[in-house]
Amino acid sequence: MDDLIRIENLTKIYMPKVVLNNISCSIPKGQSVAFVGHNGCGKSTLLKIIAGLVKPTSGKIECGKKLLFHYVPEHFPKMQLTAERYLRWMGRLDGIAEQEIGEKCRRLAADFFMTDMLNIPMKNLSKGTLQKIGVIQALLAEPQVLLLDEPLDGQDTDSQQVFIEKVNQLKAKEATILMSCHEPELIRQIADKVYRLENGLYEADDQAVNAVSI
Amino acid sequence: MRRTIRQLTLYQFEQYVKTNKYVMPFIALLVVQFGLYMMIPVDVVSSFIISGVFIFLIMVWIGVTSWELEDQVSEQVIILRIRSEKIYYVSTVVFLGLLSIYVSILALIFPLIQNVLNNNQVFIRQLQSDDIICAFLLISAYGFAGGILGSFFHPRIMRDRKTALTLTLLIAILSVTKLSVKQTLPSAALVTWVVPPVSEAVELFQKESYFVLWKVVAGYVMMVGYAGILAFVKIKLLIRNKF
Repeated sequence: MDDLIRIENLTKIYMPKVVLNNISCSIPKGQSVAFVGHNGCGKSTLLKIIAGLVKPTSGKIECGKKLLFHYVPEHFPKMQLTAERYLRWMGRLDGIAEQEIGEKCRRLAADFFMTDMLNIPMKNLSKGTLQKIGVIQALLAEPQVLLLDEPLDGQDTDSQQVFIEKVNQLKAKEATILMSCHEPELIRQIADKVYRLENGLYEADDQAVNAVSI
Repeated sequence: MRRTIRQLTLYQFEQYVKTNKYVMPFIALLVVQFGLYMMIPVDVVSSFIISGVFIFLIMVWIGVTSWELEDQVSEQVIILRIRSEKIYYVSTVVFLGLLSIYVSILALIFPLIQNVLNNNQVFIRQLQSDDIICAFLLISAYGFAGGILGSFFHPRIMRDRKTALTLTLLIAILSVTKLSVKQTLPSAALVTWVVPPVSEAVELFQKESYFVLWKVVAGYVMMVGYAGILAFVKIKLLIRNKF
């Protein structure tokens, strides 16, 4: 498989802490990669550096072309807009036709058991529901790379299963999945490759995956 | 690209309206307009120019409140989805431009309604369509410069919010009082050239009873040109600093 993303000798320092230390790896197109490790080890920072949102202190990231990233953040922000209005705007930015956006929003909202919450301002929604909105906005269109930063955080069990199915559907369409997570079940069901971040980047085996939730 | 900028501008506009951040500046605008046109008749040119200076200050206020309009995470989600930081930041500038146009229209409607209600007695001479067009151009240019100045010290350009707010306030006041400051303290000219040319644009119309076209164009270019340069620097800094 061709490498979609190549990371070379990447270091990120948030003074005085070295968050990422001389990391190198290659991610082929269509691969699903999980980054695991303790809190604060730099998983989220690595995802943001790969997406070009955060500047590395040194090192290089090479992406084949201008990739379309969609991002499920760890904490989705509260907003004044209703979930439906927000998702509509995101759909428009994705270039989806107006009628199709409505259908997609309703379908995804139903899949994630939140149809009756679409017209509530996001500032009044629970953490779990906000997280679902974070997931839905990322699934409105098909990205080339899907970034998942602790995507199951706060979601109910049924929604977690729906989420895993949706991500696997995207994977089947050759989308590359990069995730930072703590749930061994999510890793087992989605990831092709697992990296452990701990003073560097190491390929993790099954034993390490089982130890993730510790 | 134009379609994306339009969508983003409308999205920000909806966000802005929902936050109710416009309420206080809108009240301030009404108070200023009421105060300006309370003692009639007033001079056409000078009243519109003074109105422009107040719109500049109100837009500084609106620009400052725009710092918190979009959460950092939702900014990241949008930037990735449109694949361009530049387009996103340009849309924030367009949004402030659009707001300054709305505020300018409001600032013009008030005296025009007053004038109709007072049987054309609000101004010392008959108001002409040229006056309205020139006033609109100048006021919106003042407003745009104010908005860009207010939004300049974004949290990712200056992390210390107190310093950012104090600096914005100082620059805004200095922009308006620049000429008097220079008269009192000539060496201040070494610093004052950096701040928006509000005083210069006001001085152009001193002793004028009618808007002179070249002066209107000069004032407009000065203010919009300054705002454009400031917006360009802001976008460059935001792209360089990232998140």
